Amino acid sequence: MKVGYFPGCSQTGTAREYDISLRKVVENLGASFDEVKDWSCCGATSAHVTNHKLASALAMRNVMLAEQQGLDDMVAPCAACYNRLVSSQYEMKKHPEVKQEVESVLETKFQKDLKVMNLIELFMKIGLEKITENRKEELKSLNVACYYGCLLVRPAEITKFDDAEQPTSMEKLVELTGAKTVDWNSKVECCGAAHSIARRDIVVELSKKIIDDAKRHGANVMVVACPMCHTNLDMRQTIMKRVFPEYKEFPVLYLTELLGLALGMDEKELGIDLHTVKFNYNELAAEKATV
Amino acid sequence: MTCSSRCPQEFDLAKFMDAVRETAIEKGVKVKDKDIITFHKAFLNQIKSFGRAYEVGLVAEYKLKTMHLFDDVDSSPGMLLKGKLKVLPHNIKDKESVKKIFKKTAKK
Amino acid sequence: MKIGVFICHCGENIGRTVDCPRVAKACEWLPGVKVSIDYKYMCSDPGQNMIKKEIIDKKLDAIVVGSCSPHMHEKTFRKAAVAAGINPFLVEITNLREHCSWVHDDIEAATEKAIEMVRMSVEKVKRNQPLTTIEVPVTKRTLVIGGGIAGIQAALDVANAGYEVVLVEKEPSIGGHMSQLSETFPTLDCSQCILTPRMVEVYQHPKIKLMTFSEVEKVDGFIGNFTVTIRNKARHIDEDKCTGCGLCITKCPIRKKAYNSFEENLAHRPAVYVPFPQAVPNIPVIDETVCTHYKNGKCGICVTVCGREAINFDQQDKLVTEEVGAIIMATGYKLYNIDKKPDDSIYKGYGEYGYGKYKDVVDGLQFERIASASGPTEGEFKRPSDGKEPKKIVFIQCVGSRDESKGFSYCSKICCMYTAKHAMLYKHKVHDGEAYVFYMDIRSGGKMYDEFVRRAIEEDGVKYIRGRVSKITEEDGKYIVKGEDTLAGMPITIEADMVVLATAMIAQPDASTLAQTVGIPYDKHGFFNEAHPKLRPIESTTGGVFLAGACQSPKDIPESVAMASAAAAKAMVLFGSDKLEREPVVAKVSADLCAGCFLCKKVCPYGAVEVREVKTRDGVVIKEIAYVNEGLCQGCGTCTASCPSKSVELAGFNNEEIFAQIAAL
Repeated sequence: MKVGYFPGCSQTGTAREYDISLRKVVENLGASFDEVKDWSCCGATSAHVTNHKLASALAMRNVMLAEQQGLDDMVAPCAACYNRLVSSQYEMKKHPEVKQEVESVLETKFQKDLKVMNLIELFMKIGLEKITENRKEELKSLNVACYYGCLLVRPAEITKFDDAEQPTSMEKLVELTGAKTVDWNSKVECCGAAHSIARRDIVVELSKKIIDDAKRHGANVMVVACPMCHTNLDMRQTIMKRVFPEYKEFPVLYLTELLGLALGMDEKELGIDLHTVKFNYNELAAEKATV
Repeated sequence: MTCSSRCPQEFDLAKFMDAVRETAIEKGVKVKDKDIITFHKAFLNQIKSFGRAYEVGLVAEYKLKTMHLFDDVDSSPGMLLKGKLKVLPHNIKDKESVKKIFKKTAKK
Repeated sequence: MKIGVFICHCGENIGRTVDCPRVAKACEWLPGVKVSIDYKYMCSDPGQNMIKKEIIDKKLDAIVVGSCSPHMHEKTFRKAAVAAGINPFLVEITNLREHCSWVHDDIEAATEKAIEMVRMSVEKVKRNQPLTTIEVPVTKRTLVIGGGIAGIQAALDVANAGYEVVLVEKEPSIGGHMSQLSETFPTLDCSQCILTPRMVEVYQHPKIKLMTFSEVEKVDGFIGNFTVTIRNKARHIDEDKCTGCGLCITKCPIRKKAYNSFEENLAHRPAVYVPFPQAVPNIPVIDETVCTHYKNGKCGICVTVCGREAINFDQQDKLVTEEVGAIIMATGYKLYNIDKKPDDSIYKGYGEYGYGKYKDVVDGLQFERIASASGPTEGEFKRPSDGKEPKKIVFIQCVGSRDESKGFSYCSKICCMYTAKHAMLYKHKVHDGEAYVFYMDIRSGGKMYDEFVRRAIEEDGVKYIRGRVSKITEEDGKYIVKGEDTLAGMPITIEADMVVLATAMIAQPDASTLAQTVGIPYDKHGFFNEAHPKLRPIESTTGGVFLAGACQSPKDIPESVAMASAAAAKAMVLFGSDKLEREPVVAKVSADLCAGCFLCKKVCPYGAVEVREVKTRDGVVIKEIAYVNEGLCQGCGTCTASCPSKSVELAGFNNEEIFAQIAAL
């Protein structure tokens, strides 16, 4: 099975392990990626707050390229890219004048309705049975807090794939690995997003709230599906430790890394050792057993 | 998006705030939190030049413009070593098309 | 034929745009017109007298009145014609208001058009046939569908006037939602105390035939002559033998498998049950879905303990037919269940409030059961999750109401009042408790209603916060309610022990199916449509069917009772005479011309076309032709338009008349 692939800027940089683990998992499950040739940045945060026309055009350039490449669908593993892309498509459908403008800026005409998928929809397309078939390890010692972030399931009329307030699709995927999921309060609370550089204080406050909530509900690891969230929740823990002396580290994994572990790969080949907060399944399992 | 999703009157608050921000920048309104605008402008400059976000360039431009020279100094070496920060930018082949998009959608 | 033309100015309505004197003058010259006059208000007494005088003096045969819509005054002018001695169907109304003056600005063009319109009517009326009204008999019995307070009131009113009533209720007991309430506003009367006397009255009334655990399956017929098929669902208990002793209920071993819907799923009930102790009738029902006997044939404990051999596991549903003349719809409402989204949209609902996920986030009816002395907590305020007494309760109004985006656009009318009542009931029992109400507006527009809300605020210390709640999460058994206090202009977070949501009042889920069965229209929310929202709120557009209570729109108990009595009165108006008069504008099939293709039967929306055999004198059937039942025919004309051989004609609008009208243009 071939799937279109729009990596997004973080996949080659700060979220390198996300790209690594995603490609390995997809290969293991018998699918392959057809990467969009010469893709460019989707515009993400900075475009839609400063210039909405730029935002639509930058995003739709990639949809145009995918269409020209003969793709019917494409997965955007970053939740921000995913949201930007489907929002632009929705805008064009709802307002024909926007479609006209975008088409004139890009000097193209959109022929079909490319399906842009997020990470979870990708696995649904590949088939959840494949994960169960290929599973080598049962991750019994993990209590996972599934973090969706604010962009994956909202707005509901645009994303149209899970409940906007109490989503459960990621839990279904995680449970296939044998891990347990916890029911917690901050599934869709914002982590602070792109304020990571300009207003780190906001990010630290919001992200810490989320991690504290996960800990309180008995989780020992969090799983995310967005590189921005991962940066905020993982890398910023260094600051949390500095500001809050009693703060204890809490591992944050990408969904693909968790799946990779279940499919029998180890932390190094999945790129988990590139995280700020260390994670090793066997160590965590041993620790849990002694408690 | 939470606000827009929940409003019973279906008022798209998120989009409205985007529009207000866009207008504020256009009209040159004096903003208290200038750093955020500097960040966005730096981000977009990278895309205009290279087609993809170039984190080192972004951070460099941001630091120079805001003079917050020592933020993230602790994490940057680690990230460089892990291969997470590309020292050189990746140039996409069709940079012109991206530059054209910027030109065509620029505000008058 | 001598025709009179009467042009009405309708004050300014017609007179401003149409030059009425000129129209009257022009019509004088039309062939056949003997007199043509105009007047300011033709429908007034002097106007009508003028018409009558002209008819008598000039010996007119027919008249044309240029006026407002026939909907308004056709009856008036027909009555005037009858008083002056001519057949009421030799009266043609030309709508110079809605069809001319109200839709045009150009005086010259409008006047020309008016003259044309009157000329067309003159040509039509020349061909009109005198018609006589059709009389149909009336069955002086009423069917009331729904046994809540509205249904009970309507049934009692009709029965007390001496007419028989059939009251059908789908639950095992009558009483409806009012029987679930603890106390009613604004008097804080105990709800069951004021309701149960009426329930007993219904049960004992000689003129009321009570059918509980039953549903209406089919309705045929028309006003004054309905034939209704009712399904008496199988209780598996012989109603004639059961004394209501309750032994079977006490001894039933299946006690935790089914939830009691009367207790709003806060408590269980056994497989054989009565919904509540004061149920009328006090005869239990066996729930086949959980009773062991239906799973494996074992267990017959109830049979053993029943001293009257009233248990009958093999009892089947029974279909009964009733003939009635009027139907009163009193099926009531349901509360919006916000943890389950409506079927056609899986993205609406209030997931952020955690209803269904958190046990202590309840809706209005659940709170009533908790507050009620006969409820699962015997009137003590205990949290459903751990039974502890809540010290802080947050009430949220407008959950799903006034919400285009995730709920319903309308206001549910009763929530502001019952929220104040809930808060007061709580404060009366838990003196050191704190009650907070999040509101957008306070709608308390009834008698003593606003005073009631002020009492909650001033005497009972309920804290009202203007704003909405954005999210409810749980931490260590406390509910973190995050909302906005718009009057203070800041967010507010309350750690509550319990949250009560005033969810929207919606139509019963099967309301649309029932409406289609009975043959009445309903709106997009499932509420039944009234004939006219201002002046005819009790009747539906279908003759003989009346509406009472919340099934028409959200309303409180006094309004439901008032509406029920009004519906009863309307039904009794029907019964006032032995025969009903119907307009003779019905279709008629010419037996000679009809070829028996029955296309008319296929297209008739009212099922009014029957098959009739044409026989020779010896009884041999020559052909089958169509025949129109005058009682059912509504005069829509669809059959007339569809007949390929032109053998159907509509009285009052036959081909000759219409073609003449068109030709005159």
